[in-house]
Amino acid sequence: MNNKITFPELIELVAKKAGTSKRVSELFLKELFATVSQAMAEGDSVKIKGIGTFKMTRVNPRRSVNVNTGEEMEIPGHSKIAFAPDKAIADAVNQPFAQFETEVLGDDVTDEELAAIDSQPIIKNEPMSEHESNNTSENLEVNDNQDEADVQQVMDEVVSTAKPSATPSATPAETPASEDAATPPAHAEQPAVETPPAFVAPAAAVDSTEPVAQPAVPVEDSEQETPAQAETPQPAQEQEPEAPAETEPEEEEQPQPEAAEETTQPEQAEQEQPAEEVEQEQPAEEQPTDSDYVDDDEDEEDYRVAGEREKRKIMHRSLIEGFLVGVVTTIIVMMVSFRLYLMRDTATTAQPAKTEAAQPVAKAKPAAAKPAKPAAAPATDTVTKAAEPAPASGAPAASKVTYDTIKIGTTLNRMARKHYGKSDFWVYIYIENEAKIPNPNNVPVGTQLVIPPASKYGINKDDPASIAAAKKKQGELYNELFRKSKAGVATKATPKR
Amino acid sequence: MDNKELVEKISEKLGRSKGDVNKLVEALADVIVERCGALDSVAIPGFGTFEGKKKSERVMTNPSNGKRMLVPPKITLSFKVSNVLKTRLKNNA
Repeated sequence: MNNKITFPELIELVAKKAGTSKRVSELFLKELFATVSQAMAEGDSVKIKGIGTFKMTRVNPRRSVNVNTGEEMEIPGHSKIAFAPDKAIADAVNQPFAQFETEVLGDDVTDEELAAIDSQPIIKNEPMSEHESNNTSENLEVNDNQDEADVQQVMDEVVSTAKPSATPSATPAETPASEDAATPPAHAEQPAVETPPAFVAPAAAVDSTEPVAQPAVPVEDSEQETPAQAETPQPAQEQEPEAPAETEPEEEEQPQPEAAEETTQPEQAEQEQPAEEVEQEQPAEEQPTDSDYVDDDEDEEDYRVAGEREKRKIMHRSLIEGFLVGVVTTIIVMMVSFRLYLMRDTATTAQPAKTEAAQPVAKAKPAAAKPAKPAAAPATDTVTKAAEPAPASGAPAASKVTYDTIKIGTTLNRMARKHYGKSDFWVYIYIENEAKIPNPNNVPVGTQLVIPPASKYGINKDDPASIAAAKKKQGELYNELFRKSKAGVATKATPKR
Repeated sequence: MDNKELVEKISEKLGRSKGDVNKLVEALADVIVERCGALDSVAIPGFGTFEGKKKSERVMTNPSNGKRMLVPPKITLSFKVSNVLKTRLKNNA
């Protein structure tokens, strides 16, 4: 904002835009402006397409007063340049404010009210905040990618030996679906892998009668077991939340034969804990008390250790519960959207390619669990495209929604007019895509937006009540934006450029 | 001189096709839009400065029917002639 672009910078920018070398663009710019000034020096007017017209206007001689001496003098007549921008370029420059229309004020609006509105710097900071939020959204994207990479790394390191089912979910398909599929196992592992060493230390210290090497070995065993255990229920659950009962009895059998060994027994019960919790919450809650009783009988010192474990367990449980809830909701949402998609499969959609992309998203989930599914391979391409709209709109909308992309000159306003017949409804497009639009007055070119179905918000261009509702929404929206921008002023840093 | 003549002249001088020149003109327009839309200014030495200027919203009265209207804010593209060119033209005239 308010930066001056120097000539070398301009040369570089033009070269980049036109895809030519800097030398060519420099020669061109110099030649262009030399030609234009030459023509104007000859008294000609010059029209450059897409920029505007440079015109010579004649200024007649006029009388004036020298301000210093008070003497009368005559300013001689001369020519000056007037520049009239092209309609296209004027509109494009004004794009941030393009959706505003002149409004007739009612008689009831007083001057005081207007003055109060004037003092609100609603729009002043907008171009600034737009760049900022652009930056932040870029950062977020980078973070996302890093997170994903991290998750994959963890997966590779820990699970490479354990299970083949983990690998398909680690494939680079950047869908929200596979991301979801990838994260829960990874997190389920992390507590499982991290905790055993922590528990080994106190346990070994307390039970000094036993050789250190002996407990260490079973612990290692169980360590390797747990990731596998924690994992098996996970993919199973992704397919059907009620299924994991199958794996449960297996695990419960294992600790019992090993119960003879004093130290390993509680540990085993512990590691079994997260695995079971991933499956179901109720049985998990009974579990800790059981192991506590065992500890109690064993040793009083063990009791303290067990208390610590209890705390950790609770922490883990709440973590895992959170994941569980998240996973279950995503699955349900996915299933519902897939069902909806199937139902209106034959119906015509504005952009079939895009809606098709929604299908693999739904498919990617089972595909992540079942490596054998061939759908996963072709899915990845289309899925990456769909990844952009899907997270913001939510899965249920994805199946029965059309998309539109912001191009140069397109505004939310125009988009609304195109899709709903009245520009006032742009506010609904904004609401639907709030996550992607940092500033409704200036949507970055190339942003892909979800156009909600007209029925979702009761959009009807012939109904004055519907239009009035949209306008009211706009007012609320601007108030909110204003509040945000006011709050943001304090922390505002100078943008790049 | 209209756009066609101008492009012709430049392409002749640069020895490049008119398509190339048109592309460059478009690129220049794009850059100006981008920068001026962000309220930056693009300075061309010896010619002038393209500047995006924000006009704040205002209330105006329609002279014919006395109705008051709220005119929205807008960004306009303005051009300020450099002193070099100004004096050159003055002397010419």
